[in-house]
Amino acid sequence: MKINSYRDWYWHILLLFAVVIQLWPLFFMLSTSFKTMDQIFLSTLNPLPAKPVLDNYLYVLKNLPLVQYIVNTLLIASSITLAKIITSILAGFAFVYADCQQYHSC
Amino acid sequence: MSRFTWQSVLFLAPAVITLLLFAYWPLLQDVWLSFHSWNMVSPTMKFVGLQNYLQLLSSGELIKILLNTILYILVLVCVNFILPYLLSFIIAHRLNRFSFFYRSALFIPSTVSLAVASILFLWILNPLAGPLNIILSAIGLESPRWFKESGLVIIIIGLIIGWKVFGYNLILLVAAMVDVPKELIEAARLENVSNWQLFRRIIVPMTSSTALYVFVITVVFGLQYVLVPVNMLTQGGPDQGSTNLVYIVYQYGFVFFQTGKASAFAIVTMLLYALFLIVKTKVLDKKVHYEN
Amino acid sequence: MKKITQLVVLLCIGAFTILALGCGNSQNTSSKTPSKVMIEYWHVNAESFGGPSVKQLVEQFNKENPDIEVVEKYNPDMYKGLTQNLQAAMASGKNPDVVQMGYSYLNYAGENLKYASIPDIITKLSPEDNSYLQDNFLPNVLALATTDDGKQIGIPYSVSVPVLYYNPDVFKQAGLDPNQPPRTWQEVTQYAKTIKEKTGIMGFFMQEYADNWAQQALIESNGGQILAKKDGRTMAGFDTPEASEAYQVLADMVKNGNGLHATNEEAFQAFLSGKLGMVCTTIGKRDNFEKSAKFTVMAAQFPSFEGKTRRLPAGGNLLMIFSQDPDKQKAAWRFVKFLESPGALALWSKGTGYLPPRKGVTEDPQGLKDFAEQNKNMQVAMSQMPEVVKWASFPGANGLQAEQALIDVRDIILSGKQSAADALKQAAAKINSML
Repeated sequence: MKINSYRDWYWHILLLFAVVIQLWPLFFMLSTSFKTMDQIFLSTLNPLPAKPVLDNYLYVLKNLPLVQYIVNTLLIASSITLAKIITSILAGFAFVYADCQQYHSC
Repeated sequence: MSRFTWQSVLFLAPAVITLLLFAYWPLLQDVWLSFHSWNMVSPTMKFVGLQNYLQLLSSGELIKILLNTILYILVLVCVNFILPYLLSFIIAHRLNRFSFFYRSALFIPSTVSLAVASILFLWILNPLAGPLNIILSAIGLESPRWFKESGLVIIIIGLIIGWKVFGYNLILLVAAMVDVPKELIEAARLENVSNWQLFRRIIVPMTSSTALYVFVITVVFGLQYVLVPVNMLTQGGPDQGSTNLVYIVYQYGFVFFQTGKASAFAIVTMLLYALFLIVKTKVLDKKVHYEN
Repeated sequence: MKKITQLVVLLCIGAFTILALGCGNSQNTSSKTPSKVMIEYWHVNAESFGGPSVKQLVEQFNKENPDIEVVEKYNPDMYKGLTQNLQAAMASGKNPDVVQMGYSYLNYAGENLKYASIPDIITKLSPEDNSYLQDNFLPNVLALATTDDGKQIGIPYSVSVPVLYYNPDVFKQAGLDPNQPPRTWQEVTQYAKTIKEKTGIMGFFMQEYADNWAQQALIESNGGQILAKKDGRTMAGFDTPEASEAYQVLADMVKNGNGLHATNEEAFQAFLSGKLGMVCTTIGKRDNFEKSAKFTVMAAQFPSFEGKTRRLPAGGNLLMIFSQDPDKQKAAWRFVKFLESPGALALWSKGTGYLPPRKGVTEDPQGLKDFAEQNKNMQVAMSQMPEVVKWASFPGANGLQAEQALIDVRDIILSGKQSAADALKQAAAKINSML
């Protein structure tokens, strides 16, 4: 399908608008993470921290058991994924394997 | 099932056993609890018969909760079903370039947890100090108190969930849209069919099975998602303005420690879900085109 | 295929609905080694709310007591969250040993939780401490941990009182003297109006946590009350002109655009950003406010009503013991005594802004003497100690639901949907039908 190459610009504007709405909060979160407490409150809208700091990251690394959090997350995520895949594949296979002539959609 | 085999039973066993153990057994317990008055620690459980259900039906809050729930569903269907449906059509069939970029960019928020999203939006929407208010006041508007106006609070919580879920649903729908044969669209175009006719006569029928799936998860999972932002941001307030069928179960169970009433609400909620699925089966499935 | 899909979907939905009820909380189990007694200490102190102090205290105790190992566990969502976790833990037979319990849960805990009575532990396991409670705590402070039926279920640990924080820069901008903070509610109303008119900054906010603590202070300081005893039954007591008059002061400020009605976090963010002049909330936020704000946070006494005595409910928590095993009970009691020692209380107060419940800590050089002299905001809070009363705790199985009804009323009144008098009257009827 070849629509005229330059006829789709207004769709791009619409989609870019959607992208901005979706990504701006994340960008806001990212820039806030490099700000000190008073910068967060004083220059809320400024996307680029006047003096970017790593304090927040250092604090998290130093004061929270981050490694354990990551291990916990991985453990939960992988066990759920594994259990879901196994039960679903087996059950799904069984549904197809069993005679399904009477189900018109097969 | 004429060719019923033991192999298929074996294959089904893990899923069925898991469901029996973790869904149907608790469901039975829930029914049992709903006839009792219990606070979760007391050694004695008092049998109260249908009292929990009667109180639930006679209190004014049920109507309010149902209305709120319907409002949530409307907001969620708009942002998580209709909007991604339209955008997925554009991405799949109206763009020549960059469709991969849009799909990826719009999907990223789905990876953020709802708890993080709630805190993030709490700050963005701060009526006095948040970035949105700064923008609003720059153009001379006063920021509403998003989480303290009934009605508005539901829309905002719906939008927070929408922000997260939107991208995932979009990906599903784009996949369905891409499957619509290009030749069909090409042919329609040669026939000089209008955009609207193309959408109505070809796209909608050809994508209806995925669309129905997305619609169902929007309603069913969407309401489950509501629990997190409501619990973090409003605790059901203002004056029960953001409570709903899912949060009320949590509130009765884990805030008021009245398991009986919580269970009764859970049963009512489940019956309503079942009703929704029956309606879906009887009405919508008839109109859906399954490809295989 | 179709029907089976539906079946699967239905199964999943069933599962999810039940999960909403069934998701219990996991808890650590303390394993017991013969040489060391392990006890668990449950608290509600997040990193921004005294968490580091808890860790420091536990570390110090473990160092000083090699035969005991205390493990601290943070419970999110304040006392509500902690009580939930506690109920879940006890239902599965694994209870923590020392627990912070919110004063508002006092009667609920006394009636519904299987706690170990501290006076009993003292008599049985530690007779040398027989006069410990009487010697170290004022009777009215001990009363904070005594249920309505007279049981001493724990020992007061953290005491907080509401104070009025304000931003002196905003005051100056509005032409107000930061050293003359408002003393009465009438003045608060005027100040809020001046601030809004002169600077465009929002004037006033009273905390809107999921409780009625600050609102109780407001109502009772005007001679009203939250709960009343009638014929031996506890009834809603706020259906009075005093109560509604007090509440209406708040509502009017919000109605005139000088007061803020928002969620707590929103208001605190706004205050710290310099977008809000005065915030009425707990002294427990002092440390966090002082560290986060760019300006000098100042605190004044909770405003009073002209010619009336202030009555401030004590916020904070008491320590309860839940150990069943005598060894653990003894260890838990030693840990409680450590937490209540002047040095530990001083560290605790510095880290959180809570006031020490024990006699003499503020005069003790090992305690808070220096700190109290340096920190004016702390002095303000301490000067309110004689006015501390018990936090209203709704009795019975529906108690927590009744409290929620009063929280809902706050939204009705502050949104201006109904006058304070009408809304409180309706709420009183609703609550009385529940109690």
